[in-house]
Amino acid sequence: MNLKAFKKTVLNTVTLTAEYRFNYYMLILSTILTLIMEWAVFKHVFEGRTVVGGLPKSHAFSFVLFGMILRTTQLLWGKTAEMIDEVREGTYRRYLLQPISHPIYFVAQAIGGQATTFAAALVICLVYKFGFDAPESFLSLQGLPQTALSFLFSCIILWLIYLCIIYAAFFLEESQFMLWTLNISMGIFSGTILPLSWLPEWLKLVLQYTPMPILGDWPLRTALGLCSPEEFYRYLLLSCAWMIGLFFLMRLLHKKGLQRYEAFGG
Amino acid sequence: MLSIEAKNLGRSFRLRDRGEGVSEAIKSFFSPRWKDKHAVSNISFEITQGEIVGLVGANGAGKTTLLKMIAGLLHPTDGFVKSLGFTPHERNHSYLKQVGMVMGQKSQLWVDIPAWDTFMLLADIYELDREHARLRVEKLAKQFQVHDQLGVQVRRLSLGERMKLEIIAAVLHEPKVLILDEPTIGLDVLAKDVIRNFVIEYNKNENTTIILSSHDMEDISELCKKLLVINQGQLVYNGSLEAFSTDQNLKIKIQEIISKN
Repeated sequence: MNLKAFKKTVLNTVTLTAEYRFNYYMLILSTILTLIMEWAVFKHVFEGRTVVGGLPKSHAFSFVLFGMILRTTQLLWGKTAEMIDEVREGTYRRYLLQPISHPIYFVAQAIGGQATTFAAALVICLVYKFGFDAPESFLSLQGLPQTALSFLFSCIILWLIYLCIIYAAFFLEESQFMLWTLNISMGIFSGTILPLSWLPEWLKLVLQYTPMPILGDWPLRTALGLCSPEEFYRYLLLSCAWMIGLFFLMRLLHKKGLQRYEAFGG
Repeated sequence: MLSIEAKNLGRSFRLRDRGEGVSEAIKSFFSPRWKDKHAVSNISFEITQGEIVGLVGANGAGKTTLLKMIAGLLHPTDGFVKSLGFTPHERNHSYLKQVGMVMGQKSQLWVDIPAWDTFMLLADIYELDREHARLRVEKLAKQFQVHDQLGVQVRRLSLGERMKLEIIAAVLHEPKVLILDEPTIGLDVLAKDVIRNFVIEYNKNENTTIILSSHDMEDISELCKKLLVINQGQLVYNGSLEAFSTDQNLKIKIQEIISKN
């Protein structure tokens, strides 16, 4: 892997992001406003209550906060949709001309494009941790390596799914419906909006065979200190298996897709 | 030394064909009708290192498809093409480091940031020494008279300035094969001249094989010694430009083939 090219792609994407900085300011501002609103709802609606939805009140609010931050930092809807269009319209060819692998290029752009969001998420987490009544287990020093690892693995799995969706466009021309399906599924089944413990047992059983819990529930509960060591290592093994499986699927789709690629339009 | 060799090269596309209107679109969704389009078929030619070859043909003749197969963007469906000893569509990085391509209508530059940033990214991708790449960009930018535009967002530049920067991006890594697909399209006379002079000089200094596709016969006559004429995906002439220009019978014969189709 060409690390210098990777680093420069990240930096160029950060520069590019700065060109559209107002979009990001608005994204961050809307996240903060939603959090303030959630905080106000929690304060007034659940006043006097110590337990909300089976969780201690402070944990429940931390759940909402970190769930929202996790979704905002993980999602690469725009970049993925843009690349699906590039495959369909033929402009994807510019990645093929250069001696760099497209998945590496995509990940570098993902990191660069999300840099502002990562920084904002970090600041919000720190402000909440030290300025509000966050539970002690939320992003504790001892739990930080596990939280970082679960967050990183969930991002890698999600990015691999995005790449598979992009390469599906080689076969279907239009694969944005998959992106929609993924985003809707993630909202409901990954555990970032509502805890997976609230779902019916049969659904939880089905979800165990999908990467959904790894994308949200695992990093979220790890950050809140609610994940037991056994559960953490079980998820870690599962995520490794998903990463390997998705990696090979992504490679296969790319290889077979390029054979069909038509690079339309002059 | 042989630079590019193609034998019985072909590429077909499968296209969905349907009638006009919503009902046809729905019908096509459930029972699609397909037709095969042979963009390039049975093409054979050889190009030696250092030659400048012109590729001529009407719109839709298959020029760009042929160039894309040489660059490794498309997989051939028939025959084979070898370039610098590599099979282009295998996308071996050693090959990609020796080939450059400019497509007149598509950008390789990142349009929202200044060209400098893309050039330095390309320097890293092609594993060039940063300082060497910087000096090369400055030299080429002076030659193309776009030195003042290096720091401006690409999308704010004129078509001519952008095209010159595209060419700099394509030759930054000193490729042994340079593919130019309509590089002068939409440019004024002065900009065309600058690009033509650059191509002549670059070929002379670096002994680069250059394949140039253009609808502008002045580009072809000023730059190329060898000519490939392609019509409806088939090669109808492969020989010297001089023979093509002087042999009136040959010219008429080719005109007839093209107009018949």
